[in-house]
Amino acid sequence: MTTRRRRPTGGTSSSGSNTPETTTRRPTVVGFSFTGAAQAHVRTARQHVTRTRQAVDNAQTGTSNTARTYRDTEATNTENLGGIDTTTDVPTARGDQSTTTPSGSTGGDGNDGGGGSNNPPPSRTDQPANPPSTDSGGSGNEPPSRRDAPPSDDDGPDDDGPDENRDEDPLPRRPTDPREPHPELTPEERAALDRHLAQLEQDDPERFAELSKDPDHNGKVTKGSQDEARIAMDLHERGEGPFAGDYRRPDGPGQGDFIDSDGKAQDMKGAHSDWPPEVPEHVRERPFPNAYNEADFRETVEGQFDRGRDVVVDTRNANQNDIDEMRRIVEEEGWGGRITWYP
Amino acid sequence: MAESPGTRSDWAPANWPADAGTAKELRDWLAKADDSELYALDLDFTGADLSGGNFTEGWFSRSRLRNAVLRNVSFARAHCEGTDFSESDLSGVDFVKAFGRESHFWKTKLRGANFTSAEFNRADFAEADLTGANLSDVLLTRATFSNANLTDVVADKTVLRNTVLDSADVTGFSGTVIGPISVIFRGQRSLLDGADLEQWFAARGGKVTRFYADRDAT
Repeated sequence: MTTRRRRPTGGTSSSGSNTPETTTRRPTVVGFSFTGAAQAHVRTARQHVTRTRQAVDNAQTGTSNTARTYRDTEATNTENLGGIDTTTDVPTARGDQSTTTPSGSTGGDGNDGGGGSNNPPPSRTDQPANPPSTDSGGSGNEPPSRRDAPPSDDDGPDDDGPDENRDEDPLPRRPTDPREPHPELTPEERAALDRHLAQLEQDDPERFAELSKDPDHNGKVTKGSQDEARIAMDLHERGEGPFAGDYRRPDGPGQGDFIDSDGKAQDMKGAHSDWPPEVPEHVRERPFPNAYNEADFRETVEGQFDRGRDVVVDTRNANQNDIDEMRRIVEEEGWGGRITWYP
Repeated sequence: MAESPGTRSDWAPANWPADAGTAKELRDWLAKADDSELYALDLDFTGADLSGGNFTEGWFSRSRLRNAVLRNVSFARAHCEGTDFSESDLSGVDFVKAFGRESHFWKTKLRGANFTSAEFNRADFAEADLTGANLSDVLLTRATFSNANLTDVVADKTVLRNTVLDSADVTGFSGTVIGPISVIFRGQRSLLDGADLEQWFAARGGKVTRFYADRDAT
């Protein structure tokens, strides 16, 4: 006996509400065959198109970035070569309108009007002095990354003191490929990231305060909403991904955690393998009730997709096994274009 | 400043939990001047009256709050995984963005409760009274509402995937939902979606529209 496309009688008469509800048998999908299957096909096809488009965009971006890096490097080298003091005069001490800035000096700002020879050498963390190499295992289309580059002592400042030009990256292991989640954080990385987030908050307290207001809760501020604000600010600082441009909290409740640069709703979901670090020791002795598992992860992500939202997956408190499993699920399901990994 | 702890200094339970350990935990937390959350996991609040309490971002996982009075309590962003609220009065409760998977609300009064953007997958609401509750943007995948009173409930993109609605009263239930819902239809367990889902609600006095992200998302 086929059970397809049964329609509730209650749609046309009052008898529908008196339908007997007694036995439980194998579930039958009613009214799902067309709308569900067809929509699923359409959705899948759109996801394929989106992923293909993103792949092309990534390739184009990578190529243009590489070209730009070469141009920038060439310009920097040319500038530096031109800035070499070729006179045979003995350099004088700083502060007397010297034409030569000692290498590694952090006292000058390069704008003292000395003219011509006071350009600082390029920072090894900001501007590569050498053309990018493609033999380090990375994509040939990608610009050189400070995360991939091994430490080098043959350029940049040669002192051991603090360098205000040095970019402090709290997570040097962060993958350059946005489809890759960060490996499980070490305690040192977590501490560095926490410091970085605190700094972001400190640098722009007004923006932080604005983003901390939770529209789902009449604009109330909680620790959770503040944490979301810090993550959003950090993602924005990366300069890539859905938070790279303008982003904001939604205007009202039930619209996701943020509206990203493309006007798309984004929801932030934390994946926890164990208690968050701030939980007191006596509590940590108990079983953690909110531990990651595959079913919850799938239900949560699919629930967001159902509502037309993309998801920021926060793995700061996840172990490597769980991160690997989430990554596998995302790849298998083709969710990559809709998932932003954090950190 | 996060709002979670600020209001607790002037509040005390109308009726303290009978369990001594639970009462001590609550008393110690109230005495603190810092902004720490209440860690009330695996505790027994049976019979207590905590009405008006602010437990925003608190942890109540696996705890028993049966036969308790919890009117207008804030459990916003609180952890209530596996928590048992059965036969309690939670009228006007605030569950905004709460985490309540596999929690129990059997015969619980949840009139006017606000569940906006919460997650209550696989929770049991059998015979609960949710009259006038706000279920906007809630994840209720595989939850059970058998014989529940869902009259005048407001929904907005509410995820009812495989949610059991056997004999639920959905008179005045309105808004947008995401299916398929699970009901006994002509004696057979069935998943209804699309127009059939809408008709199922309409036949019972509800007025819902099936939400499709590709079509309806802004």
